[in-house]
Amino acid sequence: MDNPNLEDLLIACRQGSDDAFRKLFEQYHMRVMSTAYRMCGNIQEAEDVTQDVFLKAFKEIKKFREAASLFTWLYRITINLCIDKERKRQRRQKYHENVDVDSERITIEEANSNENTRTLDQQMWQDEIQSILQKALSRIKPKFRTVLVLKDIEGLSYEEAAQAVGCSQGTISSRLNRGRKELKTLLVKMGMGEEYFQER
Amino acid sequence: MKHGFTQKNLSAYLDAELSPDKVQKIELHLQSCESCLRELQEIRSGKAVATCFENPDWQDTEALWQNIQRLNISTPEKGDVKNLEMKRTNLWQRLIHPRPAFAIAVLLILFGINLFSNLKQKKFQYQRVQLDQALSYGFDYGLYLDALVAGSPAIEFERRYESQQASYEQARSQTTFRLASFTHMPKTFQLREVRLLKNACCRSVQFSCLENSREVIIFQQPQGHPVTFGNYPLERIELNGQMYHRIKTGKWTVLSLQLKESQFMAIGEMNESDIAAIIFAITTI
Repeated sequence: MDNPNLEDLLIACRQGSDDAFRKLFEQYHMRVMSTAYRMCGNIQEAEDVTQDVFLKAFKEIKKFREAASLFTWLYRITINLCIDKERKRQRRQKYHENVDVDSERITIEEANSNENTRTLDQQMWQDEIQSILQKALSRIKPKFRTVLVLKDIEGLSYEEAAQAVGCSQGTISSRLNRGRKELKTLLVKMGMGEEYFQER
Repeated sequence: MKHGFTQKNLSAYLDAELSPDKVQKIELHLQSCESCLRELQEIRSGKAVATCFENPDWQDTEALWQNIQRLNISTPEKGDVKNLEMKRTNLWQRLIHPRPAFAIAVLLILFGINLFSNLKQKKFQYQRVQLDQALSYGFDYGLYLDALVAGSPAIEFERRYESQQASYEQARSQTTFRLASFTHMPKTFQLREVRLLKNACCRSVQFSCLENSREVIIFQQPQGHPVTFGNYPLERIELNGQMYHRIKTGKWTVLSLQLKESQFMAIGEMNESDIAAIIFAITTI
């Protein structure tokens, strides 16, 4: 974040330098892609959003002035594009939350009852857990999911998250309360074991 | 310490984002509030499980960059960025795009001007038809006065209204109103000629007279038919309880008088006594 060359990079980008754009992409694309993945829930959409984020950023970088908040600006674009995408998707098909939660419960319970699962294929088990976590996250309302992703997954501070979302730090705290509680409730419903809720 | 403050800031408390005095207040409240304590535990569990998220292995981000480059976005103002944005704009945005909007505005203005001029033309046409119709149904004595004032024969007047010399008896038999008899006229007055005038709907009678050796033309026509005197200004005058209208232009005077069945117009060089004599003669028909 505290890159001394950020201002120079920004100036070069404004001048239309291909190398500068490349550096900007290299520096931030993983964060953008990760956030987009958590918000959208699948890799293909995350890549599409990442592409759109950088297209938009390159197009509007001339208007952007504050180098210090460059990465929160990119987060803001990412979040907005993800929410737009989700709205469009929701228009096409409604959520079927209850049905999905029930089907996931069976998967988790079956996995827990099978003692061989963990020993036979640890990676498969991890993938399954990640899939369940992502599904639970996707069912949280976007405004709560956003702060959960920015703070708990991406590791932004309250100040940075507030800047990216465009609200106060107090709002970040109250939205985090709601997001964290909902995540826990959904995962319990899906049959996630107590060990996952212990502080590490 | 308010319950709401603690609940709102529980996450900030867990994440050590609060100032020491706020932390102290929250901890004080938690000592005596079981529901907030339960809430804190829920949030703590949620936070703990959120740390389990792992990022997937991104296959080839170089391909992603190549894709962005293929879209030729390295020069923001040119190329596909603009095309891409255009593709994304919806129909409404395209409609309100400056250039189409300007074209639509110009078309609307042209259409408006055309409509206005058509209406105006139709209005004038309609007015002209109305005026022609009105003139054909009535008599424009202004034409006669024009000729007198100009010192020329009343050709225009005679061209517009069919004129025929007649005897007094012929005129009386061919008109629907009581004809002026001129029986009470002074000795200075002399009736020289009677002519029948015709327009689209009625007959009028033209009496050519001499009063004190000066020519006076008296027109008599039925009531209810329009009469105009062109643009000559009319005066409304009362004489011995009788209202009449008068036009004075140069040496010429026009006298217009409305009676029960008919209306009279007298045009000539008349002084006040001539006018009084003519009015007396007309009103005693």
